[in-house]
Amino acid sequence: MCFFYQIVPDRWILTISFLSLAIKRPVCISGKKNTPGEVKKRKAIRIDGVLHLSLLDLEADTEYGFHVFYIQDDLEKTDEAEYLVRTLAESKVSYGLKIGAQTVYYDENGIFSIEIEGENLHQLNLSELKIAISDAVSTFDYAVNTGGSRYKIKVVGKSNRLVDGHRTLNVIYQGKEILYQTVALYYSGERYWLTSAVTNIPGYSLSVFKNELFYFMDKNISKWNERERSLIPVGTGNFQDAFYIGAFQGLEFDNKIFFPAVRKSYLPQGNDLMDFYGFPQAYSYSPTENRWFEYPFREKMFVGRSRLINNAQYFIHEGGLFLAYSVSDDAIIDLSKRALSENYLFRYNQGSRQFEKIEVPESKVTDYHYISLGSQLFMLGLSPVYDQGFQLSSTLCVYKVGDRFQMEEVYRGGTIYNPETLVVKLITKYEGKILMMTSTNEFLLFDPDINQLSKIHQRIAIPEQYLEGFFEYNQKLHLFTNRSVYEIVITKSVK
Amino acid sequence: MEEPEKLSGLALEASAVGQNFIEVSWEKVYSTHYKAVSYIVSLNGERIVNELNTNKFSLISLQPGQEYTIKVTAITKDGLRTERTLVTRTLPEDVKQVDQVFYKEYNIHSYSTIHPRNIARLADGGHLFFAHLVHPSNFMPDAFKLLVFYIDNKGNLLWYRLISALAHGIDRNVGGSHIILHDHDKEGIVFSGTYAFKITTSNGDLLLEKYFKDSGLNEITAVCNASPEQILVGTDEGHLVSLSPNDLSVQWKQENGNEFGRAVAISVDAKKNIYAAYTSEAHSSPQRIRKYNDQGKVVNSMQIDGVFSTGSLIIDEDESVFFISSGSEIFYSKLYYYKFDKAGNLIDEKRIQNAVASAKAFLNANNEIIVHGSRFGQGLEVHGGILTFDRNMNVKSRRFYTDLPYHLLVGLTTNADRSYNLFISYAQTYTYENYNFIFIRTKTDGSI
Repeated sequence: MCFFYQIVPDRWILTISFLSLAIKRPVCISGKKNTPGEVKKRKAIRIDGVLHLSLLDLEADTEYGFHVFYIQDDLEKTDEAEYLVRTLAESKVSYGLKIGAQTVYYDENGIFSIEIEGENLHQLNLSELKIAISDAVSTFDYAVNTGGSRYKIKVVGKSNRLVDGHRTLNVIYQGKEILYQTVALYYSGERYWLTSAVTNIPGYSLSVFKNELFYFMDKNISKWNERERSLIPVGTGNFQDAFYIGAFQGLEFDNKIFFPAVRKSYLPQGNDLMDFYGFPQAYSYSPTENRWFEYPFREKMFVGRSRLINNAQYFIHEGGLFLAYSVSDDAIIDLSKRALSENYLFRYNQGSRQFEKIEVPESKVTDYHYISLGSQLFMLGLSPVYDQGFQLSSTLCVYKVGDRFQMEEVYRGGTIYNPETLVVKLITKYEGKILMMTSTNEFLLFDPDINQLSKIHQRIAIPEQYLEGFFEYNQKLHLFTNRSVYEIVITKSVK
Repeated sequence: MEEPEKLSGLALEASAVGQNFIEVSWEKVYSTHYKAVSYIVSLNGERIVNELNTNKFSLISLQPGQEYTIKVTAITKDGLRTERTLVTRTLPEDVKQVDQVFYKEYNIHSYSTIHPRNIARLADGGHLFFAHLVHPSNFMPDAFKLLVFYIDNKGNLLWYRLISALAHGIDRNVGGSHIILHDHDKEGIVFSGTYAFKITTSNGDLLLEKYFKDSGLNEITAVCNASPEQILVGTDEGHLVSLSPNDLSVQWKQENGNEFGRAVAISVDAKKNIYAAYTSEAHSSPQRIRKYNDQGKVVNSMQIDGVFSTGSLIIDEDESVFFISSGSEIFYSKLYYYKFDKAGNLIDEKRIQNAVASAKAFLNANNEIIVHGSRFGQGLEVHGGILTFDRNMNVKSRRFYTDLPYHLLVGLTTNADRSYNLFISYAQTYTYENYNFIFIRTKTDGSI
């Protein structure tokens, strides 16, 4: 009677027991089923009264037949029974691979680990094992026994793309894929999350004055009535540039809404369009008086449309109102010349009701924004990135602005080789931090306590094409878009 | 009576070694009593694996060039054992694995792209590149810089040097961008437009800037590194000029007639005779090749029926002259071949279809003509290719790298083991975007 207790592709190990212990030198003969001529004899070994036989170097996936014969009373006798056994196919050798956890978490550096479990993984020749995980670079260690024949291999990876989502995992051994699976990769730490809720407040550019919302549409000025849920006309601006001015978001100060500087056209010769100039001019509107005020900067006059006014913005710092803008060359007149840009800063004199120029150190920062947090003024924008003396790019930098408007860099994004060329479109303060929007649904938060810039994640993006301005209303942060107004909340959590 | 149990011998060897792993293998160990034998593998005295049933195992995560002691113990369940110890090293970092393909991608900045123009291979297997570095123009009045960079024989980009193109009147369309080596590869000389720049190969320091208009020369369109004492250049006005490699001063100048047009290629033979091919934008003039003595005196003149703005001149030991060009029409991937005897007589002329565009040709160590370039197919399809010809331009082999995504083969050099160094730029398609510069060292048969 035979018992097979182990079959591997190239070897049988048999346990044979016989009723009579008087057998001497029991021998097994074997041969391939389809080639019975290839008969080989093998001796069995008696161990603890049981006869053992191992047949070695057999071919995989091949049927072998064998007879048992034995020597009894010095006569060779043959057991009539023929035993047929098929060796395992190579491909049937399964390691039963599976991934320990379907969800894998990566840290702030993109590093994560995955455990691959399976049968007898210690038998793998690891130099022939390849484990590939989508965009990640990975290494693995020796198999570790987890009990019985179960083993696990720990794979440590670094994802170059710090984005949650599914990645594919391929395990290839000796050129054959033995596992293909997707794993969900999530960030393990706390992150900022932006949640938004649409309100019934209409979209379009608006300005806040004494916690009321003012709209400057065409030449009509309206106010939002929360209770009636409607816009109530509060007068006409009767001001020729009201529509243009009102397209910008205003800032409340000194009982007025101040609108940033734009180009004011100037034709000294009346209708002579050839004699045409422009200069920056800021405006304010007094809702209480339904009256406009203008603040021309004629000393910055330029010919026609040769110069652009950009970065125009207000900020309030330590009780004062400041106006900043840049005047730069329009279009590209001469390809060999970089467009010139001059930055200006003014402080509003509440007594004279005029803007007074403040001398500021020369700066090459473009697309800048000022923001005041507590008693500290910050400026952020794109700072040049030089390589071998050439300004080839620019990167987002944050500066602390001193009493004399000198700037101290506290944050520089990216590297010379991989700068963070992010143009900040919108900016506001949020719980002692600086909230920025660089493009639709791309939000960043700068923490000045640790000088760290963090991405803000969203589970559901704001479904609007143009996100146009932050404003504080009813002590909550809002964002107006081309269609609707959203209430914004930012929290920090793992998920 | 039971026979004493024995184990067969354990012959241990390192069957494969890499920079980070050692694979050991051994003959299976058998028990005379048919008992199962398993193995234990230890590395530097630390047990790595138990109950191993295979006879091959790899030690991984090792350091390059380090010595390791590996012990394999064959053991039965009853504890009968035999063992062998092997002391071996991982490969050092700088050893190229035998006939392995090397593949590496490069860029300088995340926002810039390398547009290669020319390559020089150093004797130590490193390469000096001349390229245009194209970058956004938001911050600069120009949108590219001249870029020289060095990749060593291990594939490391060691340095790069940026040079203003705008300040030297060089635009993206300037013809003739060349790079040669001088002073035992210690210096590289880059020619672009009417300028040359001499740069150290050790760290990219700019040693010399030469403005050729000061020497009465116009744009340099062909360059030949004739000898350690002589650089030959051709200009867009058809002048052949000998320069001193030290200060790039003019040693002599051969002014050809206006009808010669722009110099396309220059070559020299073992007897220091000089050959220069010229193209004339005026189609009425024939394309000419002139042979000069070492002082620039005309020996004879050859004519080609066609107009080729690019091409390669090859001179063999018999002073036979080969001119090979793919012409200007890139989509037909056709090669034109002309062979002249020593006296300047046209003795062979061929058109070879299904070849490559933007072809460059050279004679390899086996006296075969190697032509490389890119073959354009339907739509966006384009692949690099290498064709081998005998000197009568019979095709010996064609190899196109169709397993790679669409790409242009922008440069090729050879190694002593006959492997190629391929430099490619991927074509940007709807489904594949990769602006990196690619260096592939092929296997010795040219495959990858």
